Amino acid sequence: MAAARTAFCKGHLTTDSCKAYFPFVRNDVRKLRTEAALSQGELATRLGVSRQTVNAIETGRYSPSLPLAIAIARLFGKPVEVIFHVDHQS
Amino acid sequence: MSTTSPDSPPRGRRGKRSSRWVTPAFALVLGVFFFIVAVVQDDWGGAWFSLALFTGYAALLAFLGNRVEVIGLLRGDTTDERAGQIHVRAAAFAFHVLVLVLTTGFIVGLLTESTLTETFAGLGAIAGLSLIGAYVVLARRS
Repeated sequence: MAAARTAFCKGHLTTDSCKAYFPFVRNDVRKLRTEAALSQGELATRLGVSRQTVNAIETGRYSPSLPLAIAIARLFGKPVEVIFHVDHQS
Repeated sequence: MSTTSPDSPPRGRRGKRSSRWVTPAFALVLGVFFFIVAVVQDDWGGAWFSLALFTGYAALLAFLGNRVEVIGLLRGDTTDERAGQIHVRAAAFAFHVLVLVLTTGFIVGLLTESTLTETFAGLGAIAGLSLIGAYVVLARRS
């Protein structure tokens, strides 16, 4: 993901600006899911999304919409910002 | 204003179950249509080829769409927001490729004084006007 972002910004933005404009949103969905003893498919069913989408969220390939992020947070009983955190450093 | 609620997660997969057959059925109908057209033209080879091709495609969409995500997307599944986003980005990419082809075709047509130049120009105009129209509508709605 970092490489893709760097390639996207190359020639347009400085490294710092690139990180500021396109910060990574990391998440603890995988950790919380395994703690809850849920499979990706089970979590997907509960959220009303596909298993591939859960996988994409866990691996950071896809950032969920706000409603979906809130749905995930409610499902695990935690605030959104505890599960999803912006990472300006990587 | 968005109507999506976190309490009622994005459109469930169950609700889209019936629409999973729409694209395969349409492919089958197209196959039958091309079969009839070819038969009328007495081209039996082409008729069977068309029917087999479209039936195979319909079967692929119908039976592998649930297992392979890409085939599901080809079938038109928008099972969730990510699938919808993929559809939009794929359509935008295809549009860019088409514009590139139309522009290249138009320039080559001009250089070679081809009769296809007007066709490329017309299609390019439709693409451009569609884009402008979409910008106007979406800028007002978003």
